[in-house]
Amino acid sequence: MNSIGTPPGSAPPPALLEVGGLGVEVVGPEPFSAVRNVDLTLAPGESLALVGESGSGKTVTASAIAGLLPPALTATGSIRFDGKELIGMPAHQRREIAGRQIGFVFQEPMSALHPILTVGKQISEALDAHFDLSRAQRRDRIAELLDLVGLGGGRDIARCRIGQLSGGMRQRVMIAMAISCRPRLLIADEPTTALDVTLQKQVMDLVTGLQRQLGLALILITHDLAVVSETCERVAVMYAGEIVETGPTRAILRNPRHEYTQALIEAIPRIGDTRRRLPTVAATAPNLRDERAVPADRRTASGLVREAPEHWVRRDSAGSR
Amino acid sequence: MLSYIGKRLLTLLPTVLVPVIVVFVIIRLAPGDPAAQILGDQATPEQVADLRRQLGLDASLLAQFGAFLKRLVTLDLGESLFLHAPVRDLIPGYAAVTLEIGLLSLVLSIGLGMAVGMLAAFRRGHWDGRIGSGIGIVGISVPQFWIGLLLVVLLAVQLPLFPVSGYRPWSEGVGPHLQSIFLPALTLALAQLGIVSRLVSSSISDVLNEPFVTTARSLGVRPRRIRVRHVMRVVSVEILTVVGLLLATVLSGSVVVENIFGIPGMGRLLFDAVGRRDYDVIQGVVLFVGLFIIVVNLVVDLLYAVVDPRVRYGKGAP
Repeated sequence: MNSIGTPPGSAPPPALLEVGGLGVEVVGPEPFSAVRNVDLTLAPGESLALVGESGSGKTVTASAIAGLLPPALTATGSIRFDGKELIGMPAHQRREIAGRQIGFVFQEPMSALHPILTVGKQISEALDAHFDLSRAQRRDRIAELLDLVGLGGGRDIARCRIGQLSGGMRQRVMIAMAISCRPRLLIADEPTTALDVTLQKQVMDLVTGLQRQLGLALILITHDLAVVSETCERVAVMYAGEIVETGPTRAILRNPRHEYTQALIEAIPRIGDTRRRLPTVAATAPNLRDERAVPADRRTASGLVREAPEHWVRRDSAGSR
Repeated sequence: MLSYIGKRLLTLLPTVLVPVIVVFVIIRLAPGDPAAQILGDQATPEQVADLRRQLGLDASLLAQFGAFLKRLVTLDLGESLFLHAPVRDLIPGYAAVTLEIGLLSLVLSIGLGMAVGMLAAFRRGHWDGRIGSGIGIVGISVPQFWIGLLLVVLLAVQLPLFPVSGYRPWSEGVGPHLQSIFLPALTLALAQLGIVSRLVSSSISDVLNEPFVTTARSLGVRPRRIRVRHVMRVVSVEILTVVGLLLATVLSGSVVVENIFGIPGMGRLLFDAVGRRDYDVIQGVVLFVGLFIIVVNLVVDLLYAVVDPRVRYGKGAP
């Protein structure tokens, strides 16, 4: 199972996260797969961007990794975190990883934070779930965390409720909660989408700064390729529940091989752009090449084909549902 | 804040007058009047007419209402023709009994309703959860006089834990007093239990879908702690808003319950006054209950701002 996530030929670094053949099925009267054949690997401290349009399965993939799938969704395949298989793990063991090992930053801090509990109490909830801290230790840790996310000094944010904070401050609080137990993996699900444009860069810089400072592995979910180029070492492009292309950020951005990735990059507006109309991404990505044309030794179980040492592209039934 | 309270009270005053006017008119349209009641069957029509004139009941409806308002301005609610005491002095004694039972029933109904509602929502699909939602439906469907009589049969006749009826004041000892008010309060509470538990369980179901619950799960917070600290915290604020409504139904329920259990409270006073066409008592009680409900709702609104920081009354507030 381990080899699925790591393309053959590359020396696998000790992986923190290894996702192999992940599928997420929607159970119910009309069952279907929200996500299929997802392979991902992430070394400690490494950053990966999960890119794709709404509905491509980015958030579902991240939720499966964090163990936050709603009851109607079930995950199949393998998610190994630090060598331990997460799929099928009993809930109480899973809870020891949630928050402690994997932190999650949600898209909408306003609804993702508790409306009545104060900021300090909410951060305490995370700390108390994993540590046995004295009152003073807890207070110091909260102050330290708020300082870390740029909310230290001035008014005492710990005593505030989220209604009293601005959008940017709320997302900083969200980040403080996510990193409160010093997790090894941070998953940020479009952390800046709900924010003002002027704040987006600040919050992104905070996330990447913390990632480097604390040595976190990062999965950044976004549809903004411009953000990706500055923040992540590797990119996985998702389309219709599958990864269609994955590789180092530079390679993907400079030399996109999958038509969908090319369309996404085309759609980025640039300064000095003289196009009157920005291109839009076509609704369906066609097969680029017949699967039979790819030599078997360059294919993986999930249908990704190696283009360059670290650059993989889907060549089979892309876009088919 | 103070100006907000003042404004609210001013806008609410007309609301109190509406039920008073309705009651004022209806009791006078109903057959029979105090004069006939006082004089009994033997009286001649001339005697009745005489007394009516003395009591001012021969005047037009509008004139009578004018006189009523005029007295009201000086806080004079008139006099009971049968109890021979000013209504203003009568009400507090009866109201104290009713409010004591009402408060006890409120505590019981919210406590039991929370428990049953939590069972129904958190154990949905399990056998105990089904019992919880079953209790809710039964509670809504069954009339309170039936519940009251059932409780009397079970807890006063079969198992003589409580007196069948009658009221014992504090002066006769704390134990006997509480015993005498427990069954009436429980009857009132069980009548509310259905509504409260359904409200609690639907509120819980809503809150469980809130993103902040997922956030708590992402942090590894234990499910029980999520329920108690994250979910119920929000639910209890929502329940607070219905306390005012519950109190209103408790007061109207007291008419039935106080008659079943022979409790000398406001419900009993009102019931007897209607039977005797004791106009001033009826009007006085309706006015008092109306005022009381409005004040309670105002207090609930203000409390709401205290427990839920999302609500702040200020310039923009209604």
